[in-house]
Amino acid sequence: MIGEEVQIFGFGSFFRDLKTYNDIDLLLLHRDLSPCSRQFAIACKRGLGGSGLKLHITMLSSPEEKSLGFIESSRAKKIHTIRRDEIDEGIQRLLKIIKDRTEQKLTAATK
Amino acid sequence: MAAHNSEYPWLSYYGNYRFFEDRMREHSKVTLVERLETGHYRLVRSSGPDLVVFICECYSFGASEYDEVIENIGPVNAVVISSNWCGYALDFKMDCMNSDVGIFTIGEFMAALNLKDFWTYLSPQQKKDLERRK
Repeated sequence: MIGEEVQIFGFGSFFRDLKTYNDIDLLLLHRDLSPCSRQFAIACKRGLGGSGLKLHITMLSSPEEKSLGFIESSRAKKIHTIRRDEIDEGIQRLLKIIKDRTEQKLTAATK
Repeated sequence: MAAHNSEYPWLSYYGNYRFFEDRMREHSKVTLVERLETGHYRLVRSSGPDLVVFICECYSFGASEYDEVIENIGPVNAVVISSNWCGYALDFKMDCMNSDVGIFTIGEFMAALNLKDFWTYLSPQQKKDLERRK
């Protein structure tokens, strides 16, 4: 489905204004509980695997997130969107966002 | 939130399932707890078919994670959430219930094991939530 997308949220120590962090927590928020939406989220997660980054990935559909209040309780912030028709580019852009932030944190830690 | 294992299948950060194993061995309806692999168990019950159970320790257990479990270890009868900070959505539980699969916290699973149709167990709060939707 062309219109499918996954919204990426960052949460945890990496995305707060802290110099140190244990891992990089991401929430992949997908549209709904349909098999198509679920499989797209899994495809995005797999695409992010092997990046060499210490990623912890949580996947939730929008209705599940709404039920759990996960974004609010984890203070997650939206950092990116990956669309089905540009999944590879979307993943690469997300990894660049994370790598840039890693460098900023490294710089801040050495000051 | 405490750290958890980053690799599939989001097992305990400490690889420790003793709490779950101890609770199962104490349960009057469970006669054998067999560890198939880390986080993956077969429970033999005093009545009814054996149960294949997956233990999850993660931030939240959703439908996509469930799909990953099935792809990796095959069908399960129940998923048990083994951490205080991990949750699941009621709609997802109801979705799994339609396939005779139960999604539980450990406390819920302990209660569910007393039922013949264990996958249908709802906590008092979940019953209230469903009632409110009507």
